[in-house]
Amino acid sequence: MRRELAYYDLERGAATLVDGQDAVFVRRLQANEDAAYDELVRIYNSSIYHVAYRMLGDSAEASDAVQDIFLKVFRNIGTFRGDASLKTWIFRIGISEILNRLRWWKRRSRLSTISMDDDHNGNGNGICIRDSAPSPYQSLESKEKEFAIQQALGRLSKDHRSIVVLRDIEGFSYTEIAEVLGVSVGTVKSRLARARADMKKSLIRYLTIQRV
Amino acid sequence: MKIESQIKCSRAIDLMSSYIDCMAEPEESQILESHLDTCEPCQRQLHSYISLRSMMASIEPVRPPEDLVMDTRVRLSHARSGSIFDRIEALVVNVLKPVVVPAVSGITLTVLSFSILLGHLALNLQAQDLNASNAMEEPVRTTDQTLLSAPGNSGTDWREPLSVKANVDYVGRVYEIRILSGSQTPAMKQWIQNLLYTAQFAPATRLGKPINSSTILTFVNVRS
Repeated sequence: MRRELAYYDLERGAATLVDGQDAVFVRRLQANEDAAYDELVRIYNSSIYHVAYRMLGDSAEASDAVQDIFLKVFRNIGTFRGDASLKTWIFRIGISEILNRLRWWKRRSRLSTISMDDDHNGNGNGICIRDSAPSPYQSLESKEKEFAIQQALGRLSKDHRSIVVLRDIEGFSYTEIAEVLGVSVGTVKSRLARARADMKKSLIRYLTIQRV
Repeated sequence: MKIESQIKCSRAIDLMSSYIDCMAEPEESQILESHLDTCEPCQRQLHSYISLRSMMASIEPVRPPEDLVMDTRVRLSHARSGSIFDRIEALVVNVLKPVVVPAVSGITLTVLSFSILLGHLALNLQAQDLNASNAMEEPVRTTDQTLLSAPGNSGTDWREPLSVKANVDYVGRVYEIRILSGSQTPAMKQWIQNLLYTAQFAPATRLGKPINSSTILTFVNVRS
């Protein structure tokens, strides 16, 4: 049982281009090709927004961050040397931008607040419910869980939050996370272990613990 | 090889995170499994880690706001269309304008005073200068009335507004069209091409000289 569960793998990563196409795609971006930038936005918009929203906890801030991230990608694409995949390079810029925003908030004492407004005004930016017509009770439970996760993320340090969002929500591999955050795989392992331990403490009442 | 099974629970818990991701070293996995065979509390801990990961993975991706893609494309488009010349020009305008405008105003007043005192001549030159500074750059304008109210096409999809970036040459004709948002069906593309490639624009000008430029147009469906 342990082994079967242990080999369960997450495959919810952002859509990405295969390595062989990266170089061609980057050249098109560096050549300032309209269609290439449209494709870039189409591919990465949702996943970057999702990471930004989970990190910042606010849809308006996340939207601003997404736009600034794409502008930084455009301004820096000339410096892309292919040391990492395009996906990890973009997310490195993205996480850096998001962390800067969190620092800015901290300096102004706007410590992480959880925005649930989106859900109430019905524009669909906040909590999403599965399409399989959940019962009102299931919807409420799902909202409650998601709110609890967002709160638990908000209690983590910035470093730990980045790592949990990238791994457990976006499904990045350890190597990709190491490249995005500029740390070793060993550091990713130890930070993720500590972050998950903190998340587990915060979410213990929602976790299914089997009696052995 | 005999596997060490006597590790402390705290060490076992440390290994669980990478173990559930199949990222623990083979020796670490063996040590942990050996410990788990005899430690029920740690078995429960492992299940709670697995449950946590499943709970996190079950979060639905948050859907971005409807207009985010459009806004991002527009901002990128503006940033990308600004050539080095334009950026330098913008820098010069932004930095020097606060200095130059008062200076020009001072000179203008001086000239005006002299022209009043001396009677003639400088007034016409001064008027030309003012006109020239106002006419440094003019954006492309829509002059074709058919664009204000164009007949739709039954084969097109108008569930959302159609935004189009049109590149206009120095004689005011559209030479390239790109749909930024809205329906991109062949019928819609054909309709917008028929409309814009035959439309006449007043071209953008720089220092009074017509230049190539671009404009973003948005069409909405109005039922009559």
